[in-house]
Amino acid sequence: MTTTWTRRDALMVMGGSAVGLMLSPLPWKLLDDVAIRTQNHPWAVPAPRGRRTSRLTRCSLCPAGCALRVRSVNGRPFALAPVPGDLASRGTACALGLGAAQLAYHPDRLTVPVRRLGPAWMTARVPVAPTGAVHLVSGWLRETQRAAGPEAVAVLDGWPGRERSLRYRRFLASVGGGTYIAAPDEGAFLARFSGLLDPHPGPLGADLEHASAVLSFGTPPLLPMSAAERGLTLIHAGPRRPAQAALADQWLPIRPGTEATLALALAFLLLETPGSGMLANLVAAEREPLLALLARFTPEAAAAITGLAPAAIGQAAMRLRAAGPAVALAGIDAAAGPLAPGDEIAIALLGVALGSVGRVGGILPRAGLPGASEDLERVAIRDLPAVPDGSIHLLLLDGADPGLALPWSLVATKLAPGARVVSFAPYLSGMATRADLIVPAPAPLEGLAEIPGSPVLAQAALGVAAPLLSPPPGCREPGDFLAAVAAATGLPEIEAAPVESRLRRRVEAIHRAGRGTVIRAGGGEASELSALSSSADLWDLLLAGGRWSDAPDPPPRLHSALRLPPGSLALLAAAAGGGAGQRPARPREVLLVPIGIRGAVGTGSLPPALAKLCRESDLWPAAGDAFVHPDTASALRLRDGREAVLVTTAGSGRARVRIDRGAMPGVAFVAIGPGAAEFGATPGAREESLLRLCVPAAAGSWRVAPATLREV
Amino acid sequence: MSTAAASNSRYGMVIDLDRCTGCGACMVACAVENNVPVPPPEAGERRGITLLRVYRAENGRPFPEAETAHLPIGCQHCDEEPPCVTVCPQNAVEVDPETGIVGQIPARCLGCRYCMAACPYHARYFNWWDPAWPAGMERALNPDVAPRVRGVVEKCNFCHGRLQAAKAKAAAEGRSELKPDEYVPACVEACPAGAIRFGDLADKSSEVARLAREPRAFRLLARLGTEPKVVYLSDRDWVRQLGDSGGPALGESHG
Amino acid sequence: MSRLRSILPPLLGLLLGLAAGWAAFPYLLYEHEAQPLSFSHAAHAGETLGLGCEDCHGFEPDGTFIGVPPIEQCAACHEETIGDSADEAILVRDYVQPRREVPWRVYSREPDNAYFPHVVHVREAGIICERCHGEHGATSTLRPFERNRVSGYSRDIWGKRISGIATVASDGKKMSDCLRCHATEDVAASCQDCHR
Repeated sequence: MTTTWTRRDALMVMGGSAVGLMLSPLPWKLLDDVAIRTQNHPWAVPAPRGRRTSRLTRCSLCPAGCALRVRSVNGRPFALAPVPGDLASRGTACALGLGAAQLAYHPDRLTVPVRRLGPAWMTARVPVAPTGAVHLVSGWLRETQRAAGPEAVAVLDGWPGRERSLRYRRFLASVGGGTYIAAPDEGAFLARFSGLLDPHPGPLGADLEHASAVLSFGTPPLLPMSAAERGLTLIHAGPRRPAQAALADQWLPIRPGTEATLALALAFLLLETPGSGMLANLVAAEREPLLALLARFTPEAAAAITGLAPAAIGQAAMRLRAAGPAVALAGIDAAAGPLAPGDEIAIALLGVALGSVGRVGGILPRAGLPGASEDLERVAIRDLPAVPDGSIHLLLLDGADPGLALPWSLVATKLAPGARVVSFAPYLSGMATRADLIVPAPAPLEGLAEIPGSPVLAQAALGVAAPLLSPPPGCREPGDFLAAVAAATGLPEIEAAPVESRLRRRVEAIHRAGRGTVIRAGGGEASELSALSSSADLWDLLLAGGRWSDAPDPPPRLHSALRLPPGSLALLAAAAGGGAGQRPARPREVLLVPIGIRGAVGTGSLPPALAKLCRESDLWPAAGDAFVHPDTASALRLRDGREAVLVTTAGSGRARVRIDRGAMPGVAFVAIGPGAAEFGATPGAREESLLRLCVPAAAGSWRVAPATLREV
Repeated sequence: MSTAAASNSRYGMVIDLDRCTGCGACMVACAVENNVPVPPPEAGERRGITLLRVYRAENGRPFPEAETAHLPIGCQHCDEEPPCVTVCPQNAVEVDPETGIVGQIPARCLGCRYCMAACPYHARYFNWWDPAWPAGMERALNPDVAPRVRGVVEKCNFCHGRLQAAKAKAAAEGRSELKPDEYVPACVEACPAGAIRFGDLADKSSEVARLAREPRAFRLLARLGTEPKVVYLSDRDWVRQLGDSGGPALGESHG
Repeated sequence: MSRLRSILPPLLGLLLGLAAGWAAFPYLLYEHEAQPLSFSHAAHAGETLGLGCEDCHGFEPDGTFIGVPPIEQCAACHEETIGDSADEAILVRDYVQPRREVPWRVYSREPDNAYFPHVVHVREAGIICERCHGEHGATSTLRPFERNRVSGYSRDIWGKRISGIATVASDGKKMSDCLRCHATEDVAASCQDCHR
């Protein structure tokens, strides 16, 4: 049959096919599959798949060393959680520690050494091979030795007392006697206290395990959890209510800079108590003039200066007297740093008046960790203020920091013109941005880390953070790097043993001493160290997240009296009666007090989850916020949320006004630290921390500065 | 699921506002557990995902009597006709009859955000952007939580991945009942002050059931009749006023 | 006659459409990928060795399913060649010795938002492996992996037949396939039991 196929036929075929296709799975399945395909974007990140593991370790970000449970997938830690049964940390961990699994991936993280291309104002940096970095530093070292001698080489250690700190000092010894500078830390007050006692007792610690009351000027120290659970009375004296309002039993809202006044007033009341017998603790020759000074600070006089009610001062004194063993401590504020020497002497005097010196529950001698106090000739531990200005030609900045701020201006005055700065920080943030060369150390969780306990406590402690990730090949342990530098410069050889063997030696020394108790991570009772038959057992216990703490038996004795060095009386009088804090603020003036959370104000970087927290909540003060009382704001014509200019004698900067009814009138609390907005921003664009506006006093404290604040 | 969980549990939370110090550990633990990344800078403070969010409140008194309280608020897991379940056109959220958990399934959500308007607690968040991770961090995510895509709504689901993991562990050990502390959400585990506690409200002997019956217990916006399974505790009257629960509901407890 | 003539084009079209949808489409939709090595389950699980499924595809103590075993599992016996097959030589040389994972294609890979806990099904519900995976353990070579070119998933998920209707219990791992059993056994009725 011959037929011609017309267009109509073709259309019919197509129509039929369409119907046929509709009756088949093709269009429906294809739609379905296309929908699935569009949901799997090429840029969508799939969930990790693989073997999960879980282990215990301890957090190495600060001396608290909280126990952590680490969950990993394919060997990569993804979540950290506190461990409820741990006897030392009792199920606590802070927001910083819980986000620490993310630190290794921070955008500011460095995986190879980088050096700055040109002068200090240049922000561009280029990578340098590790061997190149060694030769660079070696060259600078030789230059420095030639031009200015070995004392011009300095190390600024943010966390003194670690095994790494010892390595720094050994390096400085091999240089021929460099300058080892300990950044101010929690133990600074007790170190000064020790210097005021005669005979000199060596390192001191506060026996908070047995104390009944703590009066803390400034941020309370990291209390051992057992003390907090026991119901320790905590009295906090400072211009800002502590965040842990639930923990503090009493808050004494004193004006910034009036700590010495309060201390002397309390000391006066306590010494006055008949039969207190505390006068015996003062060296005889000084009693009269000291008592005469104290007599000036009656509760009424102190109240006028500090802003407290006289009754509050009397009540605090009574409370301390009645409480049992009580300790007065000068805390180090994360942002505002240590108190001035005059304040610390006043608080030491208060400690004597409280009767805490040499008493259980008070201030006791503290045995250091074995291997920590090797007597290295010509390398003394110095405070930053004690270093002569302009004397440092090569500065090495340790990268690990327990989260405390240090204004660069304090450091910069010690640098000679043209000085070179090398940093070992893992991140390009904080003080590392000032460095000419950064040789990154491994980030937290990567590499074995040592966690000495808080230097405030009378009992030393040690924990170890196990390595959970391998560091990138470009990261070097600072000690290893310096050993290579020493070799390249032809200096006497310093040991290049890996971190693990050096820490093991420290653990062996602890085991040999045979003192103290150990706890296992995750729970169980504390047991005697002597029950462990070998130091390898102790090492394994520590590596699995356990902890050792000292328990000297019998408790050490201390028979010293307070001997104030010459000029102290004048210092005390000045601190208590006429410091910056008590000068009535001039009409357009406020007192600038820096604030910040420990861990968010130092050299390190915030884990991304924490940067997110800062941005999306009011919980952590965002960098650049200036909190002022409504009355102060209206006197200065400031409105909430507006940009303002903050000016001190050290310079000027921008801040955001935040009206806070709880702020002390006349004070601007300015939040410092890496802000949430900085996350991921290029280093050049990063906002400069307002810490630089704090005026460092000659003695190295920067707690309070007069400032003007006006809206832009 | 009739396996590995007591039938008809009602999992709930008790948050003690007198213990909360506003440290933010719960928010960080929540973000880490749920693979929530840092959003781009244009997100500001409201468009990020904060499945648990801690708000600050003040007592309104001037210095030095000014006090702050911190309120961690996430999904309240309403027991009685959750508003979000009622309005969802996709049935992307439902109340699990066995556990009482109000479960959000992002895979079903089409992103209309009706539920965000309906929720009286503002506990729901929209994924405005695809998650972007710093290089390397995508390998260190929680494998128990599905990756996110943009365009869907999320909310706290009491770390349901942990419940699944706890059930799997119980099955591996041959049990069908979960032990009391085997399943806790990340925020409960993280809180250093122990302010957040979790458990089965239907089990009269559990700690949360006991605390929920105390006179200092209150719920947020109880006057709306949502019957939230998150109970707050406080001794301070001004803090309890924040619950805006209406007169008679203050101090009323539900077993 | 003319009526026949007039139905012919549409009928022809219909047949073409049906053929395209039912026969050509499934043929074209799936891309065959060979597994990297020819692995004989029968040789390992058969009478000579008698390994059970769980000896390699077992569970961790916390209940997670090991799935396709990592290279350490093979290395336990195949540190050096113990047979005479060419594929085994490749296994030892290219994978076991450098400890490199074999890039197996996983037939039953589900999307990330689906949560399937093997341990609950195997231990608590007592389901045998063959119920969902067929006689895979008796095969002497691995069949090619058929990948849906559009969605990227394995053919095993939708099912062998393009209609998606399964004739044997082990065919198809879509949600509707799972729900058949869940409905009759009356378990896990909530979305969040299976979805993340």
